[in-house]
Amino acid sequence: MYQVIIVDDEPRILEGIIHLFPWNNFGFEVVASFTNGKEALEYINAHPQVDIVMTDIQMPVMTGIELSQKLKNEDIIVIFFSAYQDFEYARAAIINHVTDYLIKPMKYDAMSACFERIRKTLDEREKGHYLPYEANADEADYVTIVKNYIKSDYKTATLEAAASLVHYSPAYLSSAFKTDTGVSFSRYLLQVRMEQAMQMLSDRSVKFYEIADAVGYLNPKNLTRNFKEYYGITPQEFRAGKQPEVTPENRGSLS
Amino acid sequence: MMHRFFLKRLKVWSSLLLIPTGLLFICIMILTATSQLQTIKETTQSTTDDLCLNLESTMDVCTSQQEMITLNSQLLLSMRKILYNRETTYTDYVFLNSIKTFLGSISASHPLVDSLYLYLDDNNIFFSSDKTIRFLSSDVDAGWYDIYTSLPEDQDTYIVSREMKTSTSSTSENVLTVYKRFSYLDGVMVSNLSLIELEKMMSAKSTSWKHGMFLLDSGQNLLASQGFSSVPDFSEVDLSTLTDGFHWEKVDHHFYLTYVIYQPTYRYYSVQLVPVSAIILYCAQNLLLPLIMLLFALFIIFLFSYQITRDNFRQIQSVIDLFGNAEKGIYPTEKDSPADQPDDEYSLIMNNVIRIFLNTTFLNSQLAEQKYKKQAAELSALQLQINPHFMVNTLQTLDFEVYKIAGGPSTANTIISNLSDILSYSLANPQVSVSIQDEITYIHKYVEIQRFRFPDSFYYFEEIDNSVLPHAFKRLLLQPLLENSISHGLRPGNRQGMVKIKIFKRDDWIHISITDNGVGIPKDKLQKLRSDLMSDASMRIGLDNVNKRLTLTYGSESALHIYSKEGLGTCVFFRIPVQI
Repeated sequence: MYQVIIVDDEPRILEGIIHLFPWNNFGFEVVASFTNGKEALEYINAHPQVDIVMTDIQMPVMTGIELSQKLKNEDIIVIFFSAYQDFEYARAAIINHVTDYLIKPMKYDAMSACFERIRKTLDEREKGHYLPYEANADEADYVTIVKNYIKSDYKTATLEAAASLVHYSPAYLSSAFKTDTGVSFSRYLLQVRMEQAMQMLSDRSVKFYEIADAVGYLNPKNLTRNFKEYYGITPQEFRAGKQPEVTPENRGSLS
Repeated sequence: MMHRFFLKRLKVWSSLLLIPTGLLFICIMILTATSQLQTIKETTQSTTDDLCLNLESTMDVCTSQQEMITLNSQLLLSMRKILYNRETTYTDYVFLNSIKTFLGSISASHPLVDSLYLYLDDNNIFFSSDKTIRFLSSDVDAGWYDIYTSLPEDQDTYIVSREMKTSTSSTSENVLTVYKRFSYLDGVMVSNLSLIELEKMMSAKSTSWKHGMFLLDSGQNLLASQGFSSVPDFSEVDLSTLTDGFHWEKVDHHFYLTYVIYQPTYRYYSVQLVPVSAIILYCAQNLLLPLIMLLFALFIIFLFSYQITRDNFRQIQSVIDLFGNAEKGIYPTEKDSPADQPDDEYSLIMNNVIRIFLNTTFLNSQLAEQKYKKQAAELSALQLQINPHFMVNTLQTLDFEVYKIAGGPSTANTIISNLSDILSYSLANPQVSVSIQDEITYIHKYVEIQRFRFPDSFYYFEEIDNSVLPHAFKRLLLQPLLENSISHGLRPGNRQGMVKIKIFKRDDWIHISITDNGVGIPKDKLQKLRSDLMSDASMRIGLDNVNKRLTLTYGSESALHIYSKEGLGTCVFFRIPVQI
């Protein structure tokens, strides 16, 4: 476990970041949090084993910029997170060797991507190699959660949202899902959507564009294309009574 | 053009100045000519009169001596005795001496008189003023006697020009010989007037103009001349018809101012001729100064015209420059080149008018700029009132809170996240260009929120060429149009309508349309909507704003087009150039 300290003058955000991000799943541990840069600096000076400082920029007493300047030559990774998309801040970040600049509001995928990258760097530095971190959650458990999520939210489902749901990083979830189920996340999502679309097509009162919308296609033409690829016939042909072919795409699901 | 202006000004100025100057010049000319002529006439008259007077007085002296001799009987007697008998008494000798003295005194006292002869008819001898007694037969100068004998008896006086041989040498002298018969006895008094002396006297009265003086006898034979190198031929003129005084006569093919005096006693004419050319020349000499002044005036006019034309042109040029600069956005300042201040009142007024006009234009443009800046400032002030970071941070807190309460990610988190993104997107600097992809991402978030707020109210589709996604785009052009479609087209309808955004590239243009199958717009409303879009005062903030930004950014070809049919739906479309 790599040690992380978080600095933000808003306690609620501090608390949210500490408790709502699955730090352990990514191989990190939040060891302390502070509401200004000065306290953080003092802690870092007293505890040299801290690996990462994640700090807000605008803070009383000592700003994140000042903190990063003090830690410029230290062997410690600094990450900014701020609502400001200011060029001067970005410049200061580059000068002070800040590793990443996260924008508020924090997104799960952005944060997970950032920390996965950092862990990879740290792993390679310490052990000379990088292994995708194996989450300690129950394997069967996470597959069920993700599958249920896809079945219920197929319209808007995304890998990032699923990863957030099971506290995995999107990359890890993607590879783990493929390993454990034999199909990729996107493949599984497509299967669910196609089956749903076919089922809705059977009801002639439902308009095609309504179906497209319902299964998460912003462009109905894309649904037609995917449907054709999946079933070998177009949705229109299916409505006309033509039976779907067994293609390599749908072999498992149709049987 | 400057050439033309200059000529025009020159004409005007010349006519303005030349008319009075010319008139004055003519007046001066006439006056001068008159006075000069008067002077010439007066001089001519006086010189001629003087000459006549001199001549006459000289002649009179001679004749008076003759009278004196003829009236003195004793003297006459002695004279006769001497002439006829040659027996001279002492008394005779005395008388002879007195005659000699008389004659000698006359010839000596009058420079004109060369010699005097006294002769009684039928004699061989005559009295001379120099030798006392001379013999006709042996005298060197016998020419006078021949003339005398040829004279008719009744002619008392006669004047003739002849050569007189002098005794000492063979040379001869030109003399004017005046014959005067005695009144009471047969004899004659002959006065030889030296022609050289006479001509000298005639030339004594010199004038500044060319003139000629002539003496002619009654037969119009020339007696003496002075002034002209060649004597004109008087044969064509009948002097006897001319009264004493001035005449304009043609003599020998030339016109002359002629002054004639006839001497009845000795019957000769004294004529003075002044050629017309000489009069003109003399007048011209006096007119030289006014002429020079006239030329000087012309020169001054020329100079002035040139100077003023040049000044005017400089002024015109400066006005043109002023306007040119104003067009380029450079406006003259208050203290701009005070050296250029014209001293002509009209130019001053003109300059002021131009300056005021330019200042007004300048102020207007400044005002417009100020207005624009004010609007921008107000807008940014409005934006600053809601500190975006406060909003974002609050939403972040809210996000975590909802997450905590729900025990995991929920729809609420998505909505908060979308809302936060929309906020960041719409509050960012509107000048910074984004890509079509960015705008579409933003549209997706907006649609998601709208569909969350109004479940099952509409479908959203899009047909967007992947190739157009990286293309630069103005922020927030699509959202107001989409919002219009949803709020005015779809939501009032009872059924679940749909709205479609279509973006494709064709012929250097990116075509963008937003179509809904909502309630549509009634014809009259549509017309008003279209005319509102054309005019500046539009109540439809969303449409109008988009239209303005489109036309301002991409030009009038990118204006919004609206098609709608009541009950069928509405289509709003526009196009932007691929290359800006």
